[in-house]
Amino acid sequence: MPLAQTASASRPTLGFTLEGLTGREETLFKAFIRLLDHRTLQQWVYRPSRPDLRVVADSVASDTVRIDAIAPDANCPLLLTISSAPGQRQHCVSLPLRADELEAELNSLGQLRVGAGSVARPLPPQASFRLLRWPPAELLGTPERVHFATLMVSKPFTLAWVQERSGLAPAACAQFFAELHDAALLAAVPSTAPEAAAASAEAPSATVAPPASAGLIARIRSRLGLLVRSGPQ
Amino acid sequence: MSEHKILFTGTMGAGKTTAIGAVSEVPPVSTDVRNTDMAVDKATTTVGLDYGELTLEGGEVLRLYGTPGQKRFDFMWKILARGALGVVILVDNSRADPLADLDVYLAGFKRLIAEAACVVAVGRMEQYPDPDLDQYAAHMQSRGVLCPLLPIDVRDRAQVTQLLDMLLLQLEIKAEA
Amino acid sequence: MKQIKDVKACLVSTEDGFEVAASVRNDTDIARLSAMAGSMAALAAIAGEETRIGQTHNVVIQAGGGHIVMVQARRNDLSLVLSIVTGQDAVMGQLLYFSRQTARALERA
Repeated sequence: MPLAQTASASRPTLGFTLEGLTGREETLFKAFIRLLDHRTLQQWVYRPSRPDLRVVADSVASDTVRIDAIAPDANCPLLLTISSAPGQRQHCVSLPLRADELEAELNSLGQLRVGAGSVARPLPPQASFRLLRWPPAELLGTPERVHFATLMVSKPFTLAWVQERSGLAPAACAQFFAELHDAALLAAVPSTAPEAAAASAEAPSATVAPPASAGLIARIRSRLGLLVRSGPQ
Repeated sequence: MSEHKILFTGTMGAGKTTAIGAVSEVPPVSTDVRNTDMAVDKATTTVGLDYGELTLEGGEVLRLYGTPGQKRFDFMWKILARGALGVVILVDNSRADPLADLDVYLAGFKRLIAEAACVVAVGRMEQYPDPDLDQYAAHMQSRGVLCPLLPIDVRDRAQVTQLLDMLLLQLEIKAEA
Repeated sequence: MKQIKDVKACLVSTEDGFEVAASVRNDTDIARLSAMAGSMAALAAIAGEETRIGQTHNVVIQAGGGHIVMVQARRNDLSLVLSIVTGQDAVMGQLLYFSRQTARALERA
């Protein structure tokens, strides 16, 4: 069940199609669309029959006559290129896909399509979430996912941060993230929330130990025979 | 401070002594006494604490404490919670109302849970699948507690070690703030 | 109770913290004291074993406002803990003597 949208009820729906991408890239792109759904200004749906946007691989883009996205023809789809090499091409996102970059492009293209005139200001690059409750067993199938979920219980997080800490492949992270989002287990946190929370935090209580040092935790892990996980550098 | 401790709590028979025994490098010391509570079919119960330990590189000691499970011993919970790194709550799914049991510990260790780390581990789920883990997750959400939740067989050292791993991971994240 | 000067409460509890019999003159919470007595007796027994000073006889708490003595009464079927709470006017020697006597009586009963 998707989260209730914060945008107005008249949020336009735009269709996209995928060309020239591998099966894996298509799955990943669609997962990102679902993930970003509550943040994009328009609602994007996979609609090969009447696309407003063609999402194409490098190979397809170079063969296609460049569409001038500055003055779009309402009947002609816009173009978003997925490229493994950073290029000067307008409206291009690079691999590996990043949520913030894709979100900015979708909003920009969406605004062009809807004819709002100016390109939308990009939204904050790192969206913060918190986990609402421990995920159900059917979502947690693997030890990696259990580890992933454990990372999320202590404080608000971003997809980028969890990807870095978990050691999971970015695609797998994004997939799990999207599944949690679709299951209404994630709540967006305004970016000022962590600061506010820190400001209002109670003074450290005398009854609880000071935060354990990374060194201590590593020594306990070592003694228990657990792999010492690499933390952020 | 070279002393560090992790608590194990839960009802009589949930497996605190066993869990500590599974990882402790010394046989656990236990203040077990004869159980006179007719409502619980168990020969002994902890009235003070169970104690196990692990020596870390550098000579520090990680102390593992099992608390007495019954609410009338909650003064021991307060004493033992002081300065603890975290708490493992063991729930016995064969009991009449395990969610009510869980509530006692969520309330009794509320401060430690909020400020340190916690893991909830449910035992005997194979023979007693109800409540299932989803019900536990929903229940904990209603109590405002978010922490890892998993089934456990306390006799299995690897599973008990996994519980401790999840505690340690939470501590690492919190320390990074 | 009558034999000990300035006694405030007298309690017999099981070693796992349930009250068996109690007589109190103040507002002592019997249930909590029973539980604490069980814990203290158990911890004291361990302290005695670990330091190899032999089987623990009793636990004595001395405070500004009075004393508490806890004595274990070991029977075949059951172990009990006798707890006596007094004010500061109690005489320690008298307190220890009578608590020991009472514990022996419980053991024989």
